[in-house]
Amino acid sequence: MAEFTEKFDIELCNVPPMFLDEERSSLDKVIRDVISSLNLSNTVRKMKVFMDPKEAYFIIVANLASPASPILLKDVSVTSLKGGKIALSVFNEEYMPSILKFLWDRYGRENIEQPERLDVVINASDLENILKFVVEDPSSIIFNKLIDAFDRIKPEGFRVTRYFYDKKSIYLIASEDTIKDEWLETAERILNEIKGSE
Amino acid sequence: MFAPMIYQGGVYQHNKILELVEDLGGYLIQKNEMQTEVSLNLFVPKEDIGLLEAKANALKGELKYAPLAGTDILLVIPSLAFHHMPHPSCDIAEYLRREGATTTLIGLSRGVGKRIAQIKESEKKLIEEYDIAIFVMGIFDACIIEKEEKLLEDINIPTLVTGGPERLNLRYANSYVGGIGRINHRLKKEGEIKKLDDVLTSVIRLVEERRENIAKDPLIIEPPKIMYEIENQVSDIKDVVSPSPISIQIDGLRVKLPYNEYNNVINEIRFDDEGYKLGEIAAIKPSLFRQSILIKVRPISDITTI
Repeated sequence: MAEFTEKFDIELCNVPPMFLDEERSSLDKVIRDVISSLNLSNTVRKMKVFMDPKEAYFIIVANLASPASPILLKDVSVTSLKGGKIALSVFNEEYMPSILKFLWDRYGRENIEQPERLDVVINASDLENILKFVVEDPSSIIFNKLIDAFDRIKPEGFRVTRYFYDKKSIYLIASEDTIKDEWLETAERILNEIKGSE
Repeated sequence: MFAPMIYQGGVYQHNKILELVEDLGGYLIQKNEMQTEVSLNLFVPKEDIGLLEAKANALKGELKYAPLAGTDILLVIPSLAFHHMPHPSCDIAEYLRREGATTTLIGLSRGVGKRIAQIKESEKKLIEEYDIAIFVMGIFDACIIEKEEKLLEDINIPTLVTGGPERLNLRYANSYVGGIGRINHRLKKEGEIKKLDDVLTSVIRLVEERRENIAKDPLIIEPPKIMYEIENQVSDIKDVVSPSPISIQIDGLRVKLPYNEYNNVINEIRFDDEGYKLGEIAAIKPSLFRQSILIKVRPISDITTI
């Protein structure tokens, strides 16, 4: 097992054909490295991995934590009305592109001034309408990050893939050959097991 | 007989080391200057190492035996994707470079997978240009066994395979080092460094076996001497920007100049004390690697055919 503690559990399935112990510990390390380097350790609650190196297919199933709530404009900025104009001061530069794009689309570029890097002055006074703008929605990027992580975890040659995602759980089957129905059934079974163990 | 050595010390007065090596009839293979530090890969006559050691001590530098200096080692990985790069393949390459080896890394075009793994004929030829090839493979023993039979079959140089399982009986590989499978972090823990040491030991053993085999029927001329003559007679080699414009191999050398333009010049290189030219004592071929020139020196037993 990896030496640092993670919040999620990984189970490498123990039904025959089994992983060898060495294979199990190597794969465990790879999974922990990938999940932590992609910042997914808060997202994945439980993970099961199944592989048959003889028949060459790989199944990875994960139970996901509910994603963080969307970040609204009022959460990341201080706003005020001054002389019929809205003054906006953003805390984090990371969100500026998405905020500016939203404001340009809504009011037109001529009505937006940016005197400082993180400050915006809008030539309008409907402050209430913009406060609820969703700056970033973590649930929309989680799927891409998960697929990226699974792509790094699965053996590289297994290029035929099929996945299932319903925001609470995800599975991915990968192989060199066409995906067989019984592999799908195995994946479904592991998915139900992982859901049932909650 | 030459001994491969590395000198590490300050830039100040390191010329004295170079002058001494030249006076002793040795050769400089590679020189790396890193700000105030310099690292020299040298070939020195075995009986004169004491003199060089004394000089190194006087300059407060360090002289150590570098078993891999003058070897050209290739790392072969199934592809250049993040499954193998930069760890562990670059870590292994860097570890071998510290001992003086010149390393090259290639990714196969269709080397991934188990059933679908393939190697091209041109890739095999490219691999055979080097002294030793290290195949960096993955975690699963069933996959490594099947892949090894496909990728390493009829490769005619010593090969080493690294993989996850501690022990494996492989059919074609000369050596196997376990415990290095797919690793997604830098190899820096105690156990991981030990695995790198195991790789190094195996590579040194393969290099020494190869050197011993060659010593049974020695080369007509030592590769460092050819390197010295190329540097003196082909002035364009000074304009090559590669970190090692000429890399020495156990049985020859690679010159990083385009074959079509410099073939004749290299062919005509003469040695002062001997009556022959390079084209007569070595096979000069275009290399598959970036248009460079590959020189393989003939053994003494070939001399009757000249």
